[in-house]
Amino acid sequence: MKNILILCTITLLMGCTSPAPLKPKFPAPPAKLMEPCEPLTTIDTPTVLLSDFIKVVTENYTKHHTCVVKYNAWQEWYTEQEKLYNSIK
Amino acid sequence: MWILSFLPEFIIHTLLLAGGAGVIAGFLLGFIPLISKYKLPIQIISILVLAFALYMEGGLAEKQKQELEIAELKQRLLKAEADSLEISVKVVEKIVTQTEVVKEKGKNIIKYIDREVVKYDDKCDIPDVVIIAHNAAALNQDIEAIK
Repeated sequence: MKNILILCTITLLMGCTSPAPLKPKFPAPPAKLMEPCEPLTTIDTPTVLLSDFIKVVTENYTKHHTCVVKYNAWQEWYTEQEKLYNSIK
Repeated sequence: MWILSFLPEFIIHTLLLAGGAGVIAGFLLGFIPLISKYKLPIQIISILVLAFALYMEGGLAEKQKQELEIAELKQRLLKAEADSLEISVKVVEKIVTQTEVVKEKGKNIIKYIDREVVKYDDKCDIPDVVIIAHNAAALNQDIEAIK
């Protein structure tokens, strides 16, 4: 009787299973997106010509717009990757 | 089922056939002298074997179904990896292209400054307080830190 009970328990435990689930991995961002924004330029002389002053301002605005391009690209990259990741999960 | 990982499939199919044959022999062929002698043990053992084999067949079917699902999921993952890479490449290309456009526009403005604004260099002095304010804004620091 004891052996039968042990056999029945073993038979029932044969149904136990632990499947290894496949999980998608969220991708690492491309190196271009990880580049920091350039620091703004300062005027290092006590006097400056109007044209040189405006050039420095223009240069800084250009750096800002370049940073905006990267920021928008980051948002686009993350949104698209998240959509893809959620479609698999 | 962990047992299916080392038990060959043919053993389960054999057990099913043997169990089925045993049940038929035990319940329908009892008139045969050899079988009638051991009728009860044949019936009991064949029912147990058949039950076990059916249980294992169910497990086998489930295992095959899981394997199919895993294979399908692996395919979907591979496709998703390819799509993900495509997205990354597309975004990087966009950054490069748009940055080029921004820098080109900046250069054009510099050319304009060199052509038009230079005419007013001698007419407009930039006081040092303007430079201090500009640098403080560029560095995002307090005025006192820049002075």
